[in-house]
Amino acid sequence: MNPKTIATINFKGGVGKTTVTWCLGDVISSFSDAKVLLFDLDAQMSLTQAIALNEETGTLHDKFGKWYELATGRQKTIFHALDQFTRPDAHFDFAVGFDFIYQITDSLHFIPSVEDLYWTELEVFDREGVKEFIRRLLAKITNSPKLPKYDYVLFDCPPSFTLLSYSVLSCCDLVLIPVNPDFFASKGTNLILNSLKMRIEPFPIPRIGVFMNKTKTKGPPTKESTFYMREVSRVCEQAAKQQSIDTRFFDSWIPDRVGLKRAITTGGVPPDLVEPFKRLWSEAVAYLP
Amino acid sequence: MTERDFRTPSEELERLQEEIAETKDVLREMLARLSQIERHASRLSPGWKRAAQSTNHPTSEIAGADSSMSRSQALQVFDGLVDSWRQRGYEAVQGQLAKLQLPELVVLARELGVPVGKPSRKGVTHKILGRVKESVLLSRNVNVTPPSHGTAHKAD
Repeated sequence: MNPKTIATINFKGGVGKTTVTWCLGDVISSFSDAKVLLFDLDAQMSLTQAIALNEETGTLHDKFGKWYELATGRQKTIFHALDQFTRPDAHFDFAVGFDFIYQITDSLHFIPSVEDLYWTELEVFDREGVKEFIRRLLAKITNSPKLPKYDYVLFDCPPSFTLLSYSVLSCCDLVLIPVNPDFFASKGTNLILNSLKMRIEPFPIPRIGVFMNKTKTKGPPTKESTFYMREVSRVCEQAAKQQSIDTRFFDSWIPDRVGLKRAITTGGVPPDLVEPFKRLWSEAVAYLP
Repeated sequence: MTERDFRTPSEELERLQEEIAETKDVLREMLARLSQIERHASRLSPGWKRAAQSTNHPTSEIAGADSSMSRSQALQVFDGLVDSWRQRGYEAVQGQLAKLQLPELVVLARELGVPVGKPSRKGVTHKILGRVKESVLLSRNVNVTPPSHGTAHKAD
């Protein structure tokens, strides 16, 4: 059975895409029997560095560092996979195994990014030539006898519409859009909903779940946060009607906590934030096709 | 009792100044004690001060309490203002706000999550107008350029 695929995206930077992707992966794999695969598709490597960086020394954790060096040396990175896929007349026989996928825990695995992805955007202009890449790569992973059967694949997408974003959005089951309770972050919702459809067509548009991240709270959300929740919910309803896309503003929200930013580097979601992420995940799963 | 038993004006002034100084000392001591109690309470429950301040806020007792506008009514008024802006513009909304009493404006502002502080009609109206404008802008569709048909050539 194919895994369910969820892409976290927003063209506005700093809304918490990477943190949310990681926290969802951590909560799902820690509190259920599900096996999760994370992808870092951002050439800025935010998720990769957060997972890999030892804050005390400023260098990569030994275990990941050695693995990453080997993977890079053996040309077993996402860049090399994409490079092989986009070669003209080349057969895409990129082998996948644990030299390509890093095991964070038994049930949380990870495909890191590489800086070379920056150059891909400059050198490869053929959007149509890349659209099938993620779908084909996922098929290899799903069919590989060397790898476990993943239940969910979570993609941390860059804050712009890149070739890899297009490839993911063309095949994923659900798009999660975190927004923040401020004008500019909320304004981005309208932009992304209005542009996603025309960018992904003729592929079917995945379901889109929008939720409030970094919600300011005084116990419950503040009135200011509630104002933006209401406005973004309206934008979603409008987009659903005008663009005929399946969009929903989730009831679940994630509070703004200083400790959350350090969840990745400290190895887990803080205990008081597990429930908000469980609620968000429950709502996302219920919305999956 | 003779005139010599009464304090002179300068003696009275001096006495009053001493009394003021003593009272100020007592007040300083009470303030220090209050701060100590607040610090201790904050350690027990970090949010108690904010909750206490919000309920004791003079504006909630003075300005908002006079309004019978409920939360849902306030949101309905807001939606109406947004529609007015879209259909008839900024001046129409200003005119509608001018007809509301200050307590109603305060309730509306609070429901929209804007800080009210010392409520002045001009200040609160300005903040509500800001929220109305935000709502209009948030729902306005951006003119997104569609992708060009076909694809560019692949780089050699």
